Amino acid sequence: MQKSRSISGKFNEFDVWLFIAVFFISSFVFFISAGSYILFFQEQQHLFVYLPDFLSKFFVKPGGPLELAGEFFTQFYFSTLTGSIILSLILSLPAVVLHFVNRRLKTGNLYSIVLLLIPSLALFLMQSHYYHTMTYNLGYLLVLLYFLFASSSESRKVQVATLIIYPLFYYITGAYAFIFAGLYIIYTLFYSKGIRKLYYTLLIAALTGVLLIVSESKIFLIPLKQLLTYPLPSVNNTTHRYLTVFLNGFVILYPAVSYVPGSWKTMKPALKILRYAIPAFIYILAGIMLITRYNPDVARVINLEKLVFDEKWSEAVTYYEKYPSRNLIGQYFYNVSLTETDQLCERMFFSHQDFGVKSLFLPWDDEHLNWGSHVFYAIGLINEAHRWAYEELVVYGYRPHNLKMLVKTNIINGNSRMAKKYIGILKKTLFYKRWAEDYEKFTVDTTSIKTDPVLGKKIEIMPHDNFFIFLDSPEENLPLLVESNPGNRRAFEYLMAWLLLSKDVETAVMNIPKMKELGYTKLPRHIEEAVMIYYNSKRVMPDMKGLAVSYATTERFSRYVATYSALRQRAALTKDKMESEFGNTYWFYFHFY
Amino acid sequence: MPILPSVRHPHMPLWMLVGKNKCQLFDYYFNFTAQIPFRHNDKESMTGIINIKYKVIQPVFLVILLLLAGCEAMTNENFQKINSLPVIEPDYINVTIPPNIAPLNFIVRENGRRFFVVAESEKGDYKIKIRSGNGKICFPMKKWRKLTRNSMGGRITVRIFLSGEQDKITKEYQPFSFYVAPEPVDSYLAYRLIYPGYYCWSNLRIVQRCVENFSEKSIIENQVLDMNCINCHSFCNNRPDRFMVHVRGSKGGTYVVSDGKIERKDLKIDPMPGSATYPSWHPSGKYIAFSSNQVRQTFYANPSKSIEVFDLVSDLIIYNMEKNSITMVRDDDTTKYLETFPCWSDDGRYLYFCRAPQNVEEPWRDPEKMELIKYSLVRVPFNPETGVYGKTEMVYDAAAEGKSVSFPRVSPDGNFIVFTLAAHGTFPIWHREADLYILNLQTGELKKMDINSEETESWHEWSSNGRWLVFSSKRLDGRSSRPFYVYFDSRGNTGKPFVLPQKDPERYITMLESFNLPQPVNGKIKVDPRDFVVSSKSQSVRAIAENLADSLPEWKKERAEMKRNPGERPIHE
Repeated sequence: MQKSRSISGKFNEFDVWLFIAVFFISSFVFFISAGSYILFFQEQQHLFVYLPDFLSKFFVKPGGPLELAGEFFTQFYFSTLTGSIILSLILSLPAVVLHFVNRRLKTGNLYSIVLLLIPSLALFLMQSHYYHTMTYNLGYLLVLLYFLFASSSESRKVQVATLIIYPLFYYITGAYAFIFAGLYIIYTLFYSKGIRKLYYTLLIAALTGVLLIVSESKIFLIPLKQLLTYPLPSVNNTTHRYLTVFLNGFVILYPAVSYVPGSWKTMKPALKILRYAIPAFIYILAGIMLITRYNPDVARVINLEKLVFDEKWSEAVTYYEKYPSRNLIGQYFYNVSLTETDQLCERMFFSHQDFGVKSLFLPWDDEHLNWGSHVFYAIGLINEAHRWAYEELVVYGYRPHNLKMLVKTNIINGNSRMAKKYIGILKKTLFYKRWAEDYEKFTVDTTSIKTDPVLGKKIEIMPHDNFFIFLDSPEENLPLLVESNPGNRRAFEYLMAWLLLSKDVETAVMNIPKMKELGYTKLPRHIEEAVMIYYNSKRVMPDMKGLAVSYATTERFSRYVATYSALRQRAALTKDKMESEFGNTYWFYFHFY
Repeated sequence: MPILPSVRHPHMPLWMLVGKNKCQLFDYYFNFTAQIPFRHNDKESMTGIINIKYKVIQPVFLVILLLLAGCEAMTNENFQKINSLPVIEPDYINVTIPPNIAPLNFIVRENGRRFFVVAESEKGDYKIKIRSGNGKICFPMKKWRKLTRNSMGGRITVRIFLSGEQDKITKEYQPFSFYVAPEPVDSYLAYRLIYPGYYCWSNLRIVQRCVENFSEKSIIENQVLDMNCINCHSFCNNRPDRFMVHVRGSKGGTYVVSDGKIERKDLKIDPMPGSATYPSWHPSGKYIAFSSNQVRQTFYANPSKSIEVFDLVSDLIIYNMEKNSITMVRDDDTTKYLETFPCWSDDGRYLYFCRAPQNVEEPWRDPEKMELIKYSLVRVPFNPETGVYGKTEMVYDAAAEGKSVSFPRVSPDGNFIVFTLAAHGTFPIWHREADLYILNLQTGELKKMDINSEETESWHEWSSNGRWLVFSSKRLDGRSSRPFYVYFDSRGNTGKPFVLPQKDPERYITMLESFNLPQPVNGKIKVDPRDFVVSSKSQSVRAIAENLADSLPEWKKERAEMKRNPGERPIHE
């Protein structure tokens, strides 16, 4: 031990902190910019509520306290700046802890900087996946901290204390304790002397076994499989899985890896440049891995989701048209945003509609529970929006998004008491308290709901009559909604969008007479385009009850036909060529999708 | 001094007047003056008992305390008497409670800086004083027990005082009472904790709550049973050692607990249109009646309603525990009806159930058609010795009155039957208009119980002594059901119901789960979730059909075979 301590010099100390600082800054820059979507996504996955009932649920299983700590820190992702600082700190701390661990182990300078950076870098790469949670980072950090304590001295007192604390550590961190057990065994085998090697190894192994048996059979109502794995990383991504296995192995074998001797002092001066080159190479490697793992489509969709959740509909439309994605959820959000801004049939083809009618309603399954309520909220089927939000709450627990939707739908439906209940929960949070207080006024003065521009509009378009909601074919609700409330233009346009996307031009055109009753004075652009297709096919204009197709559209249609015919005659008709000029028309969708 | 009201309080039970004259009542109400000193640091303030017997010591004690605290003595002149009852949550004002109930902790919903509560027994021989800074009033368990014990057959008077600035008491509200009935309630209550949702569920637990204190323990949890749905817990004569639970899914089966042993059974036989559900134990413990249903739910578009649960098809069956056999309850008429919610009479000689004529085509397509489904209350005679049943008799023709009956429950003395009456349908959980009605089986008199609210009342059950009825009510927030107890005397009169008290009186305010199917149990249930896990690993014992000739009528077959929509899951509340 004394030997290893003597190796660390002041210069090397500076190197270590320099590389840790570089890591911290790099991580901070990534999460505050390109990786900010990860913070938003994770912040939306949980809601940290300061209520005894909520908090107590984390104490009924091993690893629960760790998850609680993870959720506690995650709530600060509400602010990208604060979140990035906290996350980067937590990711940097394993390196700091290992730096202190290295003082105890026989790590040579040759490797120490590289070795201590690896867990942080691995966690950073894992964190670039949006399902990698703060809990995982904290789990590894606690393992290393505990190991720092265990390796702080070889005295019997420390080793006995380590074993005594172990059950508590298991309760706090769950399955991370097994990683520690592995790490401790390796440490004991390499660094303890004589009979102690066997003694401590057997003791911690036996303790682990006893803890598992007692936990399963006497203390916790948790299946054994869960006791063995919770809350270790379980992200459904191949790279993430490899990284997890690598990190687990690395942490467990750390004492063995660091046992390999080596020192810059014995190295030729010309090769000493490697002391910087190796860590720099590791950083570059991590950077390359980060870039290859980065999926801009996912980032865009989550950024769009943020705008939708914040009800910034116009910004969402602009963002999506600027950064379109070939993603179902993205296109669904685009359609919802267009509906909320009353321009669905005016510009739905201004961006991609690759999924046809599928991007109008999300399928009813666990995967889409998160987002499915928005369309029903947009078209005024508030009961169904409530149902989706409630189902999400049941399956995934409190989330800012589902609770906010439940507040709004209950206020609109006149259920002030339930709205108050959800508001009461949101008021027990750090960052949604103000939002909840803003909405609380609607539960006190219910007359103000109708005068609110957003909530009032929803009340205006709600169904007046009752019908049973079609769950598996949600489009069938659209005509019922219009029939039940002829003032619901959003439902009508959604119906028309369904018909346009399914290329049922005839039925769409037959609906135009209803538009007069709905108060339209001019036809939306894409419906005009549908009329032109109908006319082109039937050679007769449909009955439009006095509404007319604009000159701009007929002129554009003439150009479309001319261009289309010319390209086809020259056998040069390509989707790309047409898209550049007519990509934002229904005609292009009609021909090429 | 105010004038005594000349009539009894509307919620005062009749037994309260027995043995008392008006003068005594007068004394009780108004001889309680406001000489109550409160100190700054006396948690639960003066926590204890100031027995009226210590008439000499008390004033000295009070003077010392007042001097120490620098407080001025309160007199009737220095604070305002509010001529109204305080608002407290839950509403425990003038409720009738059993002597063995846990403390009725509550929150004072009035504006004040500090809150002071004095609860005193009728005889004046015991008193609890509590001080609170946030309005939460939590009675110490031991003192509460003594207070209720001293007040059995009488009442506890509760007075609430508020202070404004400088801790000076500024207001006293009208006192109210907890009427303490002489008869205890079953010491445990079993219920399922579940989100009152639509299709999805996550963690489900059936728990037992000791109503004499606040301990709540799981009987069965689905997280150790592959997250299967667990439901329909039912007890034989309120016994803790004889009950059953259904599990649906990979660990599926009917888990029957007898004398601490759990047996996993498969009660689905071919002629049954669906799984066995809505169980009712025969008083002898030899039989369990079920209905076998294909249950579906559909959702309304208009916010005036939310969910409609209905049966595509339903039949009655009787399971013989000894023979492990199932008999379909059939006569000529039953093939034309939907039949559900069986319930045995107290002597086991009648099986009550609800039935509706099957004359509505595809009601799930149209809310107006759905409103045509109305169930009436009927019964069949049953011979427990032979297992033979007779012809169906009409008990209450609700359909003729445009109503629909659910959940009949016969009182342990056999004199009354309580059921839920709604505008239509079979599952009134989501019907705001659903109320509890009581039918006197001796006189045939039917009346709406005076314990109903604007919200749904349902899932009621009798205590083993028949003096308490526990029921689910959604009155607190309109969505989550909460267990309410109501006192029920031999003449059918009721007290004011009260919600099951909680250690933290705010629990109902933030809690979203429902207390589903509350069942009073007269002792602690010994089996725990691990016992169910062990049983779930055993092979289920398949029941045999008593009469192989049983088969379903064609229309029932068709409906029984109708497939669920993708994503649709069983009903779970």
